[in-house]
Amino acid sequence: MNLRPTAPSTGGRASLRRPVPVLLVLFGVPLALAAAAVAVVLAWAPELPDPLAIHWSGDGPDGFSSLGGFIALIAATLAGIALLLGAIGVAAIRAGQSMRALRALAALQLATAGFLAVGMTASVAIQRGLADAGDADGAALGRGMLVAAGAAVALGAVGALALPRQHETAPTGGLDAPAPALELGAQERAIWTGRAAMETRVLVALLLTLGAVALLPILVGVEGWASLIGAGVVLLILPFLFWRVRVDRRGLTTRSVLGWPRWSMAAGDIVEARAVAVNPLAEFGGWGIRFGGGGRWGLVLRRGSALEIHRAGKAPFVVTVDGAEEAAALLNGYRRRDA
Amino acid sequence: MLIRVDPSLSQPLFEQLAAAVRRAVVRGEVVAGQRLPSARELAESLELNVHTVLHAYQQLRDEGLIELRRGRGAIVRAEAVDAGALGESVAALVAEARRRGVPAGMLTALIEEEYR
Repeated sequence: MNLRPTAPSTGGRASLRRPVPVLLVLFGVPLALAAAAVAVVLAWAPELPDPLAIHWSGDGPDGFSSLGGFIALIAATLAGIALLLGAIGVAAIRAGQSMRALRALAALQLATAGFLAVGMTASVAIQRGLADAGDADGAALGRGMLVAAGAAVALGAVGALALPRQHETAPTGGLDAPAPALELGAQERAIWTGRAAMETRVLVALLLTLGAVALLPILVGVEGWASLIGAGVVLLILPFLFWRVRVDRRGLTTRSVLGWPRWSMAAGDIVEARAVAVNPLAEFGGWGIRFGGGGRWGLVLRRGSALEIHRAGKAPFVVTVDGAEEAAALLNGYRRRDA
Repeated sequence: MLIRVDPSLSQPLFEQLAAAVRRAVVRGEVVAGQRLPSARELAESLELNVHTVLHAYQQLRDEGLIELRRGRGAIVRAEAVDAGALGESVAALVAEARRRGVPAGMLTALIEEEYR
């Protein structure tokens, strides 16, 4: 029995594996807009009054700042918002958010960047050639804001359309060749047991992070009991790192070494079991109990072979485990014999 | 690790069970120190009497394949996994015996003689 991976189903999942459009939209374009706004204002500097009007109420300015201060404000605001929303986007990808959610975020990101960049530039543009910023025309600013709103809509649309559109469809197990089934005698009984454990490098990173969290209170001189919280967190997550998987006549049981959490799937409900190859980051946005990868959910602890369970009307379940092909064959064997 | 037992076969169930665990060790499907499913779990899954499973585990313990510890269940011994590495040598030996027309019983007797 060979491991026969189904087509790599990144499904509707956003992925950093295609980082160019994603990172370009989330960081590149907003930062470029920020740079462009600053460059334009700098180019206009000789024609601008100092101080410059930076806050407006009714039909005239009511707040002023030096030219340098305003340029710093533009740069800080645009870059800050670009970096913040970009970071949210990256976090969303890592958390396994769908491409649809990411497209919405990209639209928001570019619309915000566009509105701020054009709006701030427009508020400076209407002050060109004035000796005193107090003479600035509030009505002209209103027109500038309309232009900014138009830019926001246009850039938002670009943000949504720039990212790859993917259909959120579940992998269609069963359409291709039927999954292998174990030949079981009429009275034969079989059990398959396997273990699922967190990938070593992920485990090390996790424990180092938690160790740092546990040690931090001591290092910064907080009382010792605070580090007990960190140690408690380590103990809390331990059951989520090591799991036992069992297939028998009753179906599939996946439980942590401590017995909880535990998921059971009755043999009678299982339409088909498959051995697939799973890539945690690309298909599930990370490791752990995961939702993603074309509507699938499950226990994704490492890259490699995984058991994929299809049940009627339910999202496919995935658990990364060595020997998944044998487990799948046994489930299919029971189904073929008993169903 | 896949364990199959079939009551319709003439081989006793405990022997089928022990053979399945041996096969898993030889095939490298279990590692040293790994805990095998508890006797109760195997009995429930395979619809066997717990004593049948314990019988098989005791035989595997007598063979030096596993350790039985109260409360910790059946642990695979490192020596058993090392023995599993003999699989290729044994396969070569059996192939040689077949080529010379030596039956299994005689080969076993030769091996036992060598141990004395």
